[in-house]
Amino acid sequence: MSTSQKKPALPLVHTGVPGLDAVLGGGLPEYSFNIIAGGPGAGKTTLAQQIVFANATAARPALYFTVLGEPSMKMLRHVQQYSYFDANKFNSAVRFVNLSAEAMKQELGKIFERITEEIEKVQPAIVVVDSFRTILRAGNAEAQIQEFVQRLALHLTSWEATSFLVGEYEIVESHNPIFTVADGILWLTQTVERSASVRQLQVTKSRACATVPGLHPFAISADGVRVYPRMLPRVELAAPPPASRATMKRASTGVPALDVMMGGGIPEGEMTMVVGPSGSGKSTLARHFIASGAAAGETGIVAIFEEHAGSYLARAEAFGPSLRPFIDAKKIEILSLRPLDLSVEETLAGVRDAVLRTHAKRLVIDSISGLELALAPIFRDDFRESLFRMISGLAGTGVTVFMTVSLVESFTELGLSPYITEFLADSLILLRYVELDAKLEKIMAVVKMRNSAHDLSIRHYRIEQSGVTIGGSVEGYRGVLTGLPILTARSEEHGASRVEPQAGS
Amino acid sequence: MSDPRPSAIAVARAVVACEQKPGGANQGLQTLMTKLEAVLGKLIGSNGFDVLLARALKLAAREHGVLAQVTVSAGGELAGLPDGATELEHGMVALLSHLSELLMKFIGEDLAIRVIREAWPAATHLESKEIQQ
Repeated sequence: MSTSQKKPALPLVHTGVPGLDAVLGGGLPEYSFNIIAGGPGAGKTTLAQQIVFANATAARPALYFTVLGEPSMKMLRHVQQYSYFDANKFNSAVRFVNLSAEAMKQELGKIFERITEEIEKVQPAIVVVDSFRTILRAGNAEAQIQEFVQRLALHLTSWEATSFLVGEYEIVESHNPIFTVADGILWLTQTVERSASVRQLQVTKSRACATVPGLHPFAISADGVRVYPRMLPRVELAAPPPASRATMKRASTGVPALDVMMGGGIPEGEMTMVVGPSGSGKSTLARHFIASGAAAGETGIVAIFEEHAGSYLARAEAFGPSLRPFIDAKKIEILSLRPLDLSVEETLAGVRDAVLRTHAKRLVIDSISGLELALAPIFRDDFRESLFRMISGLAGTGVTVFMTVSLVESFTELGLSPYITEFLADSLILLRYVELDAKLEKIMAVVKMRNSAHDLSIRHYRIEQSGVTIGGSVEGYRGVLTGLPILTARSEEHGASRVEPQAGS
Repeated sequence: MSDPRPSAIAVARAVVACEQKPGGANQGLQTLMTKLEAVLGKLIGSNGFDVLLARALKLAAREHGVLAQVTVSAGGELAGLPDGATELEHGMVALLSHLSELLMKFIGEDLAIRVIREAWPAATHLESKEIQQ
């Protein structure tokens, strides 16, 4: 084809289902013939009705054919429970037509006649047949079914309708002839693993559209279906980073001595991971970081997974710094995400929505270990990959991220993260317990800062009511990071030096 | 099974008032059901309508013996309707009240009234405050 030839326009119908257009590459092609397939309870009818109510208008009505299956009265009762239902569109913009009498006669010809008669009368822009499978179950031969589907697809297209056949199919049936005719196929699945239920959507076919491949988690709430795309389109809210890191703006950690260790603070828009064992002060450092931003007028989000917002705030009150005044002033928002069947995509969507809604400059994720527990087991297997997707999804928002990671202490090796995700972070702070002079001490080190100079020493620190105090470096020992340091020979002669931590030093 | 709510009774009265034509209650009731079937049958299927009507008939027959021998056949066809005018007219209101009540229970008052109004688009009685409340 010559490049000068004009391609026919392919307008897209926006589904009105949050997240679905992003998966579909913008929407569904106008006049396309689509199949919404899945097992019982997968959410097929909810999805179809949500698309219908989002798109139908008096000028461009929708026809919703119900067949055998869920009794229409119950279906009408149920659809009203969702916020997308609009009573003013009922039987005007959205017309329901029951085909059970025709379906019971098991004659495809009669069903076709009735459908075409209604289409010609109403001239709809959207047509749904729910459930289509029940029509085809009526003992008709495969050739008859294929002919019926072909005729129906042609008829619906010639009447300029975007159509949806809703059917109970399992993915193993994808060889069914009706899938050959379809322009688009949306598979909905619901799986249960270790008591956690997970819904996922997959676009297995979409003619002429660049869809996002893979399984996309979705949830059904009182607002209907919401899809969480595996890869969110990147947002570009932040200005590109400056050419020289020396001129990069820094966000204070809220602990002046730690800012000094980090060469002036955390580079804005970057991600810092603080890794340490239970009780080492990871959450305290995170609170200092978020409170410091709020005190400077920056909005912040704290995403927590292990406890309710109330107990998190009470702990902040007890161990400092208090976050309550910033919550009251709407400078900090706590997102408590606790269900045990979350997907990373759902978590990311919640966090990203909050960041974009509040124009947050700082984000705390406390903790990655809690997030892993909150996820449905099916998503834990590829947690590292999921974390990567989450971090990628936050990139571009300009938010400075501070994540905490719990680490089980090992006295034989230096662990930086149980997820081998430290390479994802721009900066890495390690907290450890060590035995020094028969006492348990806390030490801190800035292990990594991407392309930035930082303090390489290992320092003592203390967590007190007044805040985090960082002391001098641990000198005269080797193997400090193993947790069981050994005095060097020189130190044995002269005595190891130890500088006591000073508040704010 | 509770008694029909005031709005269901008000709908029934408004519809019956629309259908009071020469020919007696007997014919009026059948016309009324045919009109309702055309709208409701499309929405919930002819079988769905027949089942709903049969249930409403059972409930109304408890209060109005005149309906005891009436049966429902396909498409909302009523058989065994007696000729007694006044009593049948009361039975007709009771039958429609129960039918409206069932519909309101299943699909809600708002949708039920919208559907019934479709069968009698010109019936101003169905716009009354009593029904909407």
